[in-house]
Amino acid sequence: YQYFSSTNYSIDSLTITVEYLFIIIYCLFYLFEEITDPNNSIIYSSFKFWIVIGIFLYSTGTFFFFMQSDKMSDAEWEQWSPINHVFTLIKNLFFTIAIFMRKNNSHDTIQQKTEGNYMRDY
Amino acid sequence: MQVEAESKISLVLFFGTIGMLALTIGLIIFIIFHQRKVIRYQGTLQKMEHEQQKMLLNASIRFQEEERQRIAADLHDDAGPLLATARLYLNENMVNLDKGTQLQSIYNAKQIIDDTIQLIRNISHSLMPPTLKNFGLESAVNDLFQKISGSGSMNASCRFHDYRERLHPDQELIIFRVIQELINNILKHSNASFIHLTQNLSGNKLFIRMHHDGRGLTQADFEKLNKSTGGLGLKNIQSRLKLLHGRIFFEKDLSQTYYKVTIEVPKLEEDAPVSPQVLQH
Repeated sequence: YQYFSSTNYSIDSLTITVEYLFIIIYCLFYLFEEITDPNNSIIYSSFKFWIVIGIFLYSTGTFFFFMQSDKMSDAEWEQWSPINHVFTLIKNLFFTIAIFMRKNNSHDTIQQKTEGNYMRDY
Repeated sequence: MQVEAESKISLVLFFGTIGMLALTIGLIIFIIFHQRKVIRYQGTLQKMEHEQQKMLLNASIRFQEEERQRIAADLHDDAGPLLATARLYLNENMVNLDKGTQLQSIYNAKQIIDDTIQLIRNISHSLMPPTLKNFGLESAVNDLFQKISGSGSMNASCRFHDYRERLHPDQELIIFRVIQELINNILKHSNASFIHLTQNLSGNKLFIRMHHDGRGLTQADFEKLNKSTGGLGLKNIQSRLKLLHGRIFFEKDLSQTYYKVTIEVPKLEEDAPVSPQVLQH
């Protein structure tokens, strides 16, 4: 009830910091797994790589911003909020690349399947 | 004081963000360069494997051609003249000769034809010994070693300790060819006075060991010859054993008196399906 009735809006820096720490650790773990997997040839041909890099860059770029957000005044918030905007843009750019990668990969799979069927009939 | 706090926050924010960004970008660049290195390394490995396969294939083709030439030479140089001589004895003028001379000519022609039949039988047996097909590897190897001993060139003996169940016929053929090739090499190059072959079974693997007291190869020599363009017979041995997922080791005995070759082949059941590549060989 207090959560919905409260009018004191502020960012909980501690929660966000812990959350971003977990995200950064998970991203590092994913990247480590990908580069040590011998079956993986080109890591950046996978759409998952671009999604993880987008999230990773956003988390590291805005880490200190959100960590200090509860101590910042409104003026400071206005001054430093472009950091959040810029990294959100970068994150969305990488997500777009991931979507295009996914689309191209699925096109290639469909084309391979079609060609394969044709060759089988022939 | 508020200004001080604000400037402290700004400093932490600025340097913290720059530091994190630098670390992240550094990490991403490291990952990309590492990947490129891995891809280049995999490319080099693939290329080396391709070269090795090409060399083995060339060796196999050259070996086949040499074998065909040998068979052609045997037929042309031995069987051909014999049959031509037999023909000389059996000509139309025979009807004008007296009975005694006719009988002698027929007898001579028959002798020559018998010799030719024996020769062709020997060529055929050396290509595909019927003992191997009918009685198995142990009998075929025993026969082979008896022939070598019988020729008087060296003392050859063999002993199969545990061959109650026959291997798949195609496996037996390949192992027999490998043993034949090894013996040919020993006869040609080693100047040995004895060869001894033993067979053992350990778990699911068949071991065949050959000892001889002549000049032999060590594993290092074998690998060197395999990488060079020569050593056709050895390359052939290696490609045959690869089909059976087998291995071969060359070593000098610890007592330094004789050389040992060990062939290790996993056992396939007699009725188990065999890959088409094995069947072609």
